This record gives sequence, structure tokens and C-alpha cells, in this order.
Amino acid sequence: MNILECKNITKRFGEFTALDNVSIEVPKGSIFGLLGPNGAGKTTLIRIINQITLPTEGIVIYDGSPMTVDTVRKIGYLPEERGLYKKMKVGEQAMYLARLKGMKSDEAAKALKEWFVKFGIRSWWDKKVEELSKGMAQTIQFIITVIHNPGLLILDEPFSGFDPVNVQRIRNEILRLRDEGTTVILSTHNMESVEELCDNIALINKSKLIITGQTDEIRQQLGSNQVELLYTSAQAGSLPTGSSYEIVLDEQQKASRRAVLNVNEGFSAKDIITEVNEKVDIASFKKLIPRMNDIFIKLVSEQK
Amino acid sequence: MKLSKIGLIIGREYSVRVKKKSFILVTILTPILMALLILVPSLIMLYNGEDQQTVMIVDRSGLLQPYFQTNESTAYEFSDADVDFDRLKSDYDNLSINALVVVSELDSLNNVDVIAYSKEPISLDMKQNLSSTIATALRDYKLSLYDIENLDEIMQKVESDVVIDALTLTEDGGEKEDSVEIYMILSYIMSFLIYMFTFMFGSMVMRGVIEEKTNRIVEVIVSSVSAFELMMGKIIGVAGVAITQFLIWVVLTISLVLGAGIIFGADLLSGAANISDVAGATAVSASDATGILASLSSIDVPYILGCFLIFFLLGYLLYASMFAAVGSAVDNEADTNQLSMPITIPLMVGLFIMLHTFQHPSSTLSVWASMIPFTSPMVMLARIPFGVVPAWQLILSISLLAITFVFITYFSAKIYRVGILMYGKKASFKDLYKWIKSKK
Repeated sequence: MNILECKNITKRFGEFTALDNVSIEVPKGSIFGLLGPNGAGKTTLIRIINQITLPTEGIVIYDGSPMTVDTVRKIGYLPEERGLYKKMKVGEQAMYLARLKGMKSDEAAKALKEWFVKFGIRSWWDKKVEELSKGMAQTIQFIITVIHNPGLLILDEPFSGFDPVNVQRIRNEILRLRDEGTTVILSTHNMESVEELCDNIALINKSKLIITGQTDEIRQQLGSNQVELLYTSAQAGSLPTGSSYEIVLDEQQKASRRAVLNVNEGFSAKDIITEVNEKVDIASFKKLIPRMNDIFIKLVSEQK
Repeated sequence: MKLSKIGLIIGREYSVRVKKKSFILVTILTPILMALLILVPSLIMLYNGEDQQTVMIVDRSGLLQPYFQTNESTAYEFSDADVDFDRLKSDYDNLSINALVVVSELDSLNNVDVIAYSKEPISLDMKQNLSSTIATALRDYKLSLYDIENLDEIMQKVESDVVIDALTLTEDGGEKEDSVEIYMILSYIMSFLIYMFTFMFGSMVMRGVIEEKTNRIVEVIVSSVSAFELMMGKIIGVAGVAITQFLIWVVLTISLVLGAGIIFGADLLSGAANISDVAGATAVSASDATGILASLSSIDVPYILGCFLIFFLLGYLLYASMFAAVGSAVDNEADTNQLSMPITIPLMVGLFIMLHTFQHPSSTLSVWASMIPFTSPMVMLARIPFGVVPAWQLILSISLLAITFVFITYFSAKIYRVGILMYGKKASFKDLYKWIKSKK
């Protein structure tokens, strides 16, 4: 079941088309990666979902019915361009923003206290924001985004500005929220996080949707048929040619050699194992699934 | 529109500003300064008046002695007409006098030369007093040379005392005591305050918008509330700050001045009234002070204060949304100059027209400018203290202002909505026009 559907969204600013007939479906309880180079139209799409701007054409459906100003309250949005009032105290500010989301004063206070305790930052409550480091401010912003238990979380570059320890903490929180039933839309340039976190992705480039679907399927589909072989050989030489494969790369590593092979037409990975096994000692053998990074670069550069 | 959310925004905008140290300082110090400004000159006048001045007159004409009578402020001493003047001058310091006046003998036309010596320049008052008294003495002497019978009686009959009692006819056919000077002062203060407040608090709105934009908090907020709610919340919150400050100023200034009046005595207040005469740029003799005090009580304070609040609020609302739109279109305050021209120019024009209006409250220019929405808050307030504004003009002016406010806010909100989410780009007027035309 989809919690969010964007149907044929087009957005024009005068002559300029920011989004051209983009449709995405976000399954409930999943993490959805929204990818694309800078200026592709991701932020515009996110703003349309948030009702900050309205689409020129198309419709956004949330949980079965068209998105309205009231349903926007069920979204938690962490924009890429984000900040806080510098002169306000952390606690006061968090209360204000939570109440703007429609929370009552007492429930906002309770929820905030819980999060502050959990992150071990209770001592920040009476500090002014200008006294906080960038990472600290980012933590507050994350808490404010999720404070009202939104059904849909939209995170635009949530990891920027965090040290590795905090990145891990935020990742764990995102996964925990997903497990508790929250749907997450994650817009990021960090492809490792996409591989690790996203169940589905959509790639937007130059206002158009390039591809959307399950992350694993896309990686399989777009993978060229390649295998990676780690081996040692008695002759200490390179891998001899064979009929079932074509050598793309063959290099000496510390203890062994690493080769990347294209599987030839009419052969399978199994045939290669059989053939190679006679020539060298196999240390490891695996099918290569392309990294999201490569897919991203390939798809984006293909369009040019 | 969610009223509770607007309420939250108004509350934040208000409380953040009134809790600022700078706000508290300005709010408390300004009335103290104002009170000092009113009180200090009258204190000086009060204490200065207690010192009796001594003037020594060397009267070679022999006419003057009966005319100079020692009084509270000045004591007159006459020395012999044939005294050695040079010796007298060199002995000046031992005489303990404030001035030494030499009147020459009568010349062929029965006129005299008068020279006054002093260590410190003699006051204007004393100079006028001397010359008018000497002139009277000469006139009497010259008249007496004509040998007219019953001269004293004739003189008494000829002399007349003209006092102008200025009354203004009110609309209901009655009449009221008039004191133009007090109206001018009020008129000037009122409309200048409107100008100052609109500028000050309009800029405050603009800075608030820029702050939210540079802090990058605005996108977080507009995902919770609409841009229009955020803008109106800010404008109304700042209006609350303005009214708070104004009311504190009024209350504090009045109580400080009255408090000082009680401590130093009522003389001080009539002294203060004298000072206001001078400020009114019109020479009013001291005897009119009581008249001014009387006409002060004839001023309809609730009416003027009410008009002030209505025109301030509407004028502020009109300009504040424009200030907000300009703030949304830039990334820092330095870039606002060009874009804020359409705001500052009408404000300045209003101020200039007001400088004419507080002297000519019923001129064609004044009447028109008090109708046109962009100048009307200032010009109307300059007219109101004179009581020359018919009800229909007042109502028309307020309605025009309110309608224009709605229109301007509609367009400003469109600019604002787009502008707050545009980073790193300095907008031109062309961009603003595009934003107005764009759909959400």
C-alpha cells in the first residue's frame, strides 16, 4: 500500500520547467530514496509534497486522498536549507516549533524531554542556539522534525554536518522509525546511505524522472554481467584468457590478485568458475552488483 | 488559516522583542529624556528668575529717574550725572552691579544716545526693557514741549489695550478657546511620531524577515504554517511591540512631568508651557501661558489619541507588508536600499507635506494628502489637532487606507511567499513583478 503518490507532477516557473510529468509511489513503512544531481528538481518536488508550492499540473495523494493543508501536519520535513533562531533558547524554540506543528503545550514538553534525555542533551535546553555547534544544531533540528510522530518523514540531506558517530545515530533512528511504521523519503547524495537504507528509489535528472523502483531490482537490472575474482596462481602471473570470459581488469593486490571479468554470451558464472578453477586457485568469487554511485553517474551522464 | 498558529507566531514575535535588553532600555530611557527636555529649561528659567539684577544708570538727560522703579528682577541705581565716567568704569568690579548704562544729554532733536557696559552680555529682556522705558520717557518729554492742556487726560483716553481672543467656531455652532501654538506642537509631534514609528517598526519587520531567511529557519516554519500566516503573525506581533512602547512612553512621560511638577511646584509647569511657546516658533508673551494651559484642557485627548492609534496601525500595516516583501527578496540588510525606495519615498513625501500641513491644516494640498493612503497617516494626524477635519473626510481617509492596505498586503504576500525560499540571489524589481504574477 502506498502512503504517498505523486501523479504526473509538472511544475513550471514562467518559461522554466522544474518538474516534467514526474510520478512516484512511496510504499507505506519503507524508506524511499529521492536521488538526483543538484538542480534536478528534488527540492521542488519535496516542496510540492509539503504544499509549500503547488504543482502546475498533477496531484499529490496522501494515504488515499488528495493532500490538503491539514494532512501536511502529518509530515515531518527536514529541509536541506535549515536553521534555527540564533538568539532563542533551545528549549523555548523546540517548544515553539513543536506547537506550530499542532502539538499541545504539555505533550510537546513531554515528547521533547524524552528525546533530549535519549540523546543525552538535556543540558542544552536553556542554551541559546548561537552557543551550539553545527552538529548540535542539526541534532535539535532532527528532533524537531520527528517530534510530532509524523506518518511521513521527508529528510533532505539529513547527514550533512554530522560527525560519523552522529551519522550512525541518526541512521539508527531512521531505521527505528521505519520499523515502527513511519515512511521516510530520503533525499541525499550519499550513495552508501542509499544502498544501506533505501528500499525504493527514484532518480530525477533535468526535471524528468529517469528511473524508479526497488533498489535491489534496479541494481540487478542495471548491472552489466560482471564477476569479481580474487585468486593466487603458482606461476605468480596474470590470469590466462578463457572462452567463457573477457578480462576487464587484472591487478596485483597485497596477498592475491583481483580480476574483473565480463561474462561472455552463452556462458554463465558457473562456467567461469569451472574454467578458472583449472588455471588458478580461487580465493573468492562473486557476482558484481553495481554500486548506486555508479548507477547514478551512468544514468545522469547518459542523459547528456 | 489557523488562528491558534497565528497566535503562536504573534506571541513569539512579540515576546522575543519586548524581552530584548535594547527594547527595555529605549522604552524606559526615552521618556526620561523627554521629561528632562521639558523640565530642564524651565528649571533653569525658574532659578534664573530669582536673582535680582542691579543696573547703574548715569543719566545725563535728567529725565529718566521717575521711570525706572526697582522691582523683583532689577534694581536701578542712579549716579550723579557729572560723575567721572572713566573712574566709574575702572571701578566697575567694586560696584557689584550687572550693568552700567550711560544716557547722553539731549541732542538738538531731543534724542539721546545710550550705551550699556557689562562684564557679561546683558540679557535680551533687560535690553528691551531699557530701550522701551527710555523711549517712553523721551516721548513724554517731547509731548510736554507742545504745551497741550490736559495732556495726561488726553493720553489716558488715547491709549487702548488690544487683546485678541481667538475662538474657533465648532461644527455644532458653538465656539471654543483657541490656541494655535499648542495645536501646531501637537500636530507636529503626532505626525512625526507616526512617521518615526512606521519607519522604525516597519524596518523591524524587514529585519525579522531577513533574519529568518539568513538563519534558514523559514522553510522549517512554512512547512507548518502558510507563508501568509507567518508574514501576518510577524507584522501583528511587531505592531503589538510598537503599541506597548508607545503606551509606556505616554504614561511614563506624563507621570514623570507631573511628578516633577508636584516636587518642584506648579511654577515649573507654567514654565514648561513657556518653553513650548518658544518651540512653537511663534513669539508669545508670557502672559499667554495661562491661556495655553487653559486651551490644553480644551484638547480632546481621547479623540486625538484614538485617531493616532487608528492611523498609526493602518499606516504601519500598509507599510509593514511592503517592508516584509522587501526583506523576503534579499539575503542581507545591505541589499535592501534599492528595493525599499518605493517605501521610503512616499514616507518622506508624507513627512515633507506634513511640514506644510502643520502650518496650513486646511490647504488644498493638506486635504488631498490626508486622503491619499500613502501620505494620509502623517498628514491627517497633522490636521487632526486643529479640529478642522470633517467627519466625512476622516471616514473616507480611513476607508481608503484600509482598502489600500488589503490590496498592498495581497501583492506583498505574493512576493514574500516566493522570496523567502529564494537563497543566494539578489532580486530586481523585474523579479518581484514575476513573483507577483506567479502562482503558488
